[in-house]
Amino acid sequence: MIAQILANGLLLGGLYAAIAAGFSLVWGVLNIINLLHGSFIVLGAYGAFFLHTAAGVSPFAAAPAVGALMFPLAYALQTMVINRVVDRPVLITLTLTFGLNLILNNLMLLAFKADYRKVVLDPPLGILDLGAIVLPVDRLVATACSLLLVLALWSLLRLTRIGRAIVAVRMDRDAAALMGIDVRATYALTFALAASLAAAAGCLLAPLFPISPVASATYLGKAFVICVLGGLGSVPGVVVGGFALGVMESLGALSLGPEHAGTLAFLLLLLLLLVRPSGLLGRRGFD
Amino acid sequence: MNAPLLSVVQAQGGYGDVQVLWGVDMKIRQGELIALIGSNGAGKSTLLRLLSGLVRQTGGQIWFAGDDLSGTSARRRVASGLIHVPEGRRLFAGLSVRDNLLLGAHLRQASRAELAADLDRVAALFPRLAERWRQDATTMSGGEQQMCAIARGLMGRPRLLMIDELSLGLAPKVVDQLLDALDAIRRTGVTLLVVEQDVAVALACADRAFVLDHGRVTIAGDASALADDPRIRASYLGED
Repeated sequence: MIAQILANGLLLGGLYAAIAAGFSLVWGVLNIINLLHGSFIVLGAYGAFFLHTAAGVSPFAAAPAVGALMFPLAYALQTMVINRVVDRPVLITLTLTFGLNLILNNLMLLAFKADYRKVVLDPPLGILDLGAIVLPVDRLVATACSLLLVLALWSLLRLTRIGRAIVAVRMDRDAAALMGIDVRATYALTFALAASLAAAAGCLLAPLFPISPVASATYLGKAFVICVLGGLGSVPGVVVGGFALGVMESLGALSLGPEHAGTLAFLLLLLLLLVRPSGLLGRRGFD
Repeated sequence: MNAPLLSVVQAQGGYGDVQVLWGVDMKIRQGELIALIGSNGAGKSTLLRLLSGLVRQTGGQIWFAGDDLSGTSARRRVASGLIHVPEGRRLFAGLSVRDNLLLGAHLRQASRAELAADLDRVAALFPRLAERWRQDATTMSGGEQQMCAIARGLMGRPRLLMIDELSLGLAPKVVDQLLDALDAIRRTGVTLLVVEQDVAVALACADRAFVLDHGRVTIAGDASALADDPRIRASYLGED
């Protein structure tokens, strides 16, 4: 029983890592709490839904394409709108992304309605029966893809010239400018990268959870909790935070009932904030 | 006489509404080692930040290698070879010495072989860095961090390297090593503009010096002559 709950929690947690990675990146590098993030995830899920409905494309295969489509849109949004206030106090940027999220969310309601939709895989991927635990293969694939996305982000930040520039801007904007790094272009790149990750994560969620514009607030809340749990500014922290939230939600659902899955998680989050405010792996920098 | 590499004409600038520089004039020729001295708050660091594009220029002109850089971005200035090693070193925490150095070459479209050759070159200049290649740069000693900051500046292949507060907080032995390194850098053809709070050290190593006071150049001349100037001796060398 406990093994099954842990397995469920870990599968969920792996998915959560991809949900939160972009949010953490934008918060860490741009110092913006991006309230659009949940809507980017939902938009990605709709992308997977329509690709699946119209052309039969698997949502897992759609993730890179939908992520790539999101990139120029988010880059333009950052360059033309958010970059104008990126240096202002966090309340200003918070208000801006709040307003932009209202617009995007209402546009989605207008275009897609509030009806819940879901990608139904045909044929279903079935289950993997390991005796003590049973794993749904669709969740297993989604989690594996999610962790691959996070690994790709980590590799980009650690091993590439662009990644080093993003980390440098995160650490010290002026010093980065003295290296010849275009700080504003790096902001736009970071924002677009994070939005692409969110959209790709949305594709992975599409066959597992109902798709609706109203789900965006839930995803945003989870991303926020994971960043606080794992510690802001760390890709490994996002993975640890995701697994921690997934397992806590599973345990919460068992002990308090499915309707209170998040209650235990949030209680533990409050406790963690008292004991270790920097999160489990929080540190300066983004690695 | 050669045309100056850097020509600053009545440059003005500051932070927001606070003007710090009130019309700075300065000419630096290729291959010179120039000291910029002055008391705290005279505007030395602000002048370097103005030259590198971090501080908004509100008046005057900055000519570098024949181009008017007034109002241009920091990126454009780095691309021109005007490179600034800032006060406090400002190394990137969490990144290794090697990654910090590679960031210095960010703008260059250099091949791996070229970058490796440049890393070897700075390692030869500062052998202690080569021993700490994979160490978090900000966990090194102050002297090693200063070496790393200068080496990072060199990775950008500067024509003019501006170093702010070269010796601040460093042991005399380390300062001697840094001065030897400056001499070696200069012999490669790189022009140097050094802000140095130890005026005796500054005048001993420089060809010429500028004294900045309340945002203006008040005294300029050969370093050896300035070392004997009674105004300098009274104001900066603690002599009556």
